[in-house]
Parts: sequence; C-alpha cells; structure tokens
Amino acid sequence: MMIDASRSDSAGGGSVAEEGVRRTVLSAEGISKQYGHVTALDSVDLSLAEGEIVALVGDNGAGKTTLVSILTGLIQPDAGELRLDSEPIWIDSPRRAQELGIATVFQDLALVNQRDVAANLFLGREPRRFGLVVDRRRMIREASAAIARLRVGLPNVRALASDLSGGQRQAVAVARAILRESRVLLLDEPTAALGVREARRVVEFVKELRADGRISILLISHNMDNVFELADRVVVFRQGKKVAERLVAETSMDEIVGLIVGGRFTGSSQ
Amino acid sequence: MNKTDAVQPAAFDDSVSRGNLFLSRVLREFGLTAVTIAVFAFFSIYAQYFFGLDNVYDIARVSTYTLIVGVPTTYLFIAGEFDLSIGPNFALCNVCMALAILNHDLNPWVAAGIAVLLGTGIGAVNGFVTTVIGVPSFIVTLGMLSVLSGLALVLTAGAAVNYPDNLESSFFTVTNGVIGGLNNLPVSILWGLAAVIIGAWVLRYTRFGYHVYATGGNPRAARAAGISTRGVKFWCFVLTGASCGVVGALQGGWLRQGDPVGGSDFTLLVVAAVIIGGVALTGGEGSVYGTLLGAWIIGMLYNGFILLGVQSYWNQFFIGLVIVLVASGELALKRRDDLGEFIRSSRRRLSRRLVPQAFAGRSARRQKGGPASS
Repeated sequence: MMIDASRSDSAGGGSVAEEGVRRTVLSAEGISKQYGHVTALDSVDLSLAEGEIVALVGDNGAGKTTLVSILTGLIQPDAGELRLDSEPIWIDSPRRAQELGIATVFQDLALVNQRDVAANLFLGREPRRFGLVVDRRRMIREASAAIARLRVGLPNVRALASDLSGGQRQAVAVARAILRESRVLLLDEPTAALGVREARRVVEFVKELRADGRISILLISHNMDNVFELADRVVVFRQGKKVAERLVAETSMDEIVGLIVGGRFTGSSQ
Repeated sequence: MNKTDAVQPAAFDDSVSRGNLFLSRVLREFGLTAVTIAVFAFFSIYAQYFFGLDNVYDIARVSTYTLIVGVPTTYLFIAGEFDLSIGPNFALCNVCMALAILNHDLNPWVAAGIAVLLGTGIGAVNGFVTTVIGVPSFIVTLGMLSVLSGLALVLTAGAAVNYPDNLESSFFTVTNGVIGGLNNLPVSILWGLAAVIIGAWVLRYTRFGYHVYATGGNPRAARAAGISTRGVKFWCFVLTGASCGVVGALQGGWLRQGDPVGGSDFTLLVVAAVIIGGVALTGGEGSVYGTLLGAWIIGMLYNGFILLGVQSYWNQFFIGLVIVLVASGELALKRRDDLGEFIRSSRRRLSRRLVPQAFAGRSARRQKGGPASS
C-alpha cells in the first residue's frame, strides 16, 4: 500500500534514528490564546528539531492557523513561551519573526503579482547601493543564483509573478524564505491551491529541502499523502489542544485521521 | 522513481499564463504614448495656434500644477489609498499664504513655507486617520474635503484675498518668471519637470518605491515580508499633502492672491491625470510616466478646446468622458487574452455542434463564392 511505501521512505532517510541527536531549533511551551469566550489554543507544546519536518494536522478550527499566526508574529499568545535555540523569544511583529529566521509561506501564496520574481525574492529587504538606490543588478544576479541552486525551474527572474503557475509561485515563496537564511519555515497548505502535477512538483521541491537538511519545516496540511510523504513527525490538534504526537514511521494514516476527528468515525484506531 | 526523474529539477514546465500582465503593461504604456501623440496631432491640425512653442509652454505651465500633485498622488494610488481632499487642501494652503502675507506682513518665502507645512500637516492627518485609526481613506478624505473647503471659505468670508500691489519678492520670479534665453520658458515648468524626474526616480529605484508597489500589490505579502505598509501609506499621504502646499504657494506666486474656491476642480484634474496614466485603483500598478502623459492629455484637451472655440464648460464633460474611455480600454487590454480564449473556445464549441448540420449550408456558400471558413 501507499502508506507503507512512504513509511519505508522516511525510515530509509534515517530520520528516526537521528531523532535523539538532533538539536531543537524552535520550541513552544504552554501556548494559549483566547478570543473572547473561544479558546483557540489551550496550552499547546510543540518542538522542531534541526532539519526536521513536522506536520501539524487537525480539523478546521483546531488551532493550526492560530499557532502559525503566533509564530509569524501576527498575533501574540496570552500565555506560554517560545524558544529559539533554547533562548526565550518574543515575536511581536512579522519583521521580528524574520529577524529571528522564522519564515512563513502562506496559503494564499504571498507574492506581489505586479512585480517580477527578483523583486519578490527580495521583498522587504532589497539590496542597496550607497544606502540609497536599490541594487537591481545584484538582485537579478543573486535571484538567478538562488533559483538555479534551489532548482525552482524558472526561465527568468524578470518574469512577473502573475505570469507564474501556482507551483512556481509556491516555489518562489519558499525560495524567498531560504534566501533570507531562515532556519524555520512554516508551510501553510503548500499544495491546497494546486493541480495534481503542480502539487507533485512542490512535494519534490520540499523533499529536496529536506535532503539539504539546513532548514526545519512546520508543515500544515490537510493532505495526508503529503504529510506521510514529507514529515518526520505528526502533531495532531483538536479543538485548540494537542491530542497526539506520532513519528510518521510508527503510525498510520488511519490512526492520524482517527485522532483528527476524535475517534468518532474510526473507533477501531484507538 | 528512476534516475532521470531524480536529476530533473523540481521544474514547473507546465506553467499557466495568467493573462500576461507584462505584455499588457507594455502595450498600455505604448498605447498611451500613441494616444498622447494623436491628441497633439489632432489639435495641431484642427486648432489654429495650437502647434507653437508659446502654446506648448502654456500647456506645460498648466500641467505643472497637475504634475506636482499628480506624482505623489500616483504613489498614493499605487499604495492602494485615495485622496479626495487634494483640491481643498491646495485652496486652503493658497488662502493661508495670502492671509499670512496680508495680515501678518510675512515675507512671501516664509508664507510659502507656512503653506507647505500646512499642506504637509493636512496630509499627515489624512494618513494618521487612515493608517492608525483605520478609517477607509475614501471616507477620511471625503470628510477632509468638506472640512478644508469650509475652512478656506470661513477664513476669507468667501472672497479671494489679494496680495498688496506693491509687494516685491524674488519669490515671484521663481514662481512666475520666464527664462528669456529659452524663448521665455516659464520657470514654473521646471518645478513640474523636477517633480516628474525625482518622482519617477524614487518610485523606480529606491526601496521606498519598491515598497509602495508591494504595499498596494499585496498588502498581506508586504506585511509578512516585514514592510511597514502603514508607514508607506502614511508617507504617501504626507507627500501628497505637502505637494498640495507647494502648488498652493506656486499658484499664490503666479496669481498674487488666495482663492478659497480655486481648487474646486483641481481634485478632478489630478485624479483624472493619474487614472488616465494607468494607475490601477486597486493598487500595485502605475508609473510616473503614465501620470505625465495623463496630465499632458488633460492639458491639451483644455487648451485645444479653447483654441477650437468650444465653450469651456465642455471641458469637464470631455475629461469625464476620457476617464471612462481610457479605463474601459485598459480593462479590455487586460482581458484581451481571456477574450481571445473565450472567442476561440466558443467558436470551437459552435463548430463542433454545428458541423453536421452546417455541411449543406457551407457547400452552398462555397458555390456562391462566399468566404470559405475552414
């Protein structure tokens, strides 16, 4: 079966064996967030090791987006602590998140359509000459290098973002995060908006990032095939709480789906 | 997975073109240039005295005010905001300068400085209420439109305030002089030219310019990339306000008076120039070059109709008409690909459905020597 195949793939990568050795990059402890009477997050813990891909799954309203927003600096938690390299951090703005090396690639593909790939890759931190003029030549050069190195497969960094396909856009958004030497990448539904072939390409792209091993990824996805193909670990949220954490190699899709819906529909799995 | 698959980059060869924005942009800039030349040619042929250095200078002098405010307004529109209070801001600054000279005996240079500061302050208020309090700029500046025009009328009791006749200052040379060596080139044209050159340079080559485009193009992406979209918008409002102050002072230096209702159609002129220039009201697109052409088209219409002997009341009518036409044409250009695809696909569908029945008709047409459609 397909699950078995992807499982053996992860095991072959040696991710389970290395689990104990890997250094924790980002950790969240006891994070809570209230919206009026609604508890979006109830004291959740999460940790992400170097080069690791952790999948965060859960039904709509489980608190995934709230946690991503907190890690991105869009909202602040009511309680709990975030740590980067064991140092406590306070992410009070998206800019701060970037400075800390935490990059997010959002569901709606955060590119500026009217600008070209190079401008999008350097969005918000355009290189300058004499501290005044944007160094367009350097931008083009470094953007081309990054696109080639990451094998995004784009013909030209001068192409407008609006002329890219969904998968190319996703790849450019990820390349931007890597170009910023981000250490943690939050991928929010990276394939949800894509066709089958495009989605496939993005999965291959993320696999290459994993093989590269320099960046840790928190993957938020409804797509169980993606989760089992890419992730080392799966964390399940339900109604604002973390209900389970499993190594991909030691679980099954049935179990995870059961955990997501709370065992109501697949009583056999628990 | 075989080896070739592994070697292949995560390529995205099956890219889907999304309406080819680049091509439509080039076409638009080219098209607008062509329209400008066509309008110029039209009036040169049909309006006596239109084609001549003096008249071109005159158009440029009138367009200068539109351009000085039009350039920062271009920024503001690209950043996705709007300003309806341009005209009243300009009028209030114009009036306050006159009052400062008349009632407080201030040097025209100092009075002009006050006008610019006032305009800047008004822009800052617009920016603050929009970006910090969060009221949509359309509403904020609609309110400001009324507030400022009301203030200008109250301060002057509704009548224009004239500068003292004997007032002499180098300020009037700078705003109303001519350069004899260049066939009496009006000095004020230079200020418009400076606004265009500096404005285009900043928008195209500085980080601020990049951020203006990003802010209007995709605010969420810009924010997530660490750009302070509020800051960008705030400074665009401030620049627009400051430019209104500058034009208020320039106009004061030219007419030597403060006119509380002088800005009544100025908002229309500026916004028309910017929109004709191709700035998308949805943000993210536009250029100073477009605004330059837009201001020139409007300047030529004003000037040309007067020379043709058309009643000047028609001006507003035609400017409005041009706005609607240009905006429609632009949209057609953007949808060109969709339209072409729609026509192609419906033709395919039609022919597929009609082919069996159409055979008889087609052979009949062929016999008549009609156009043989494949």
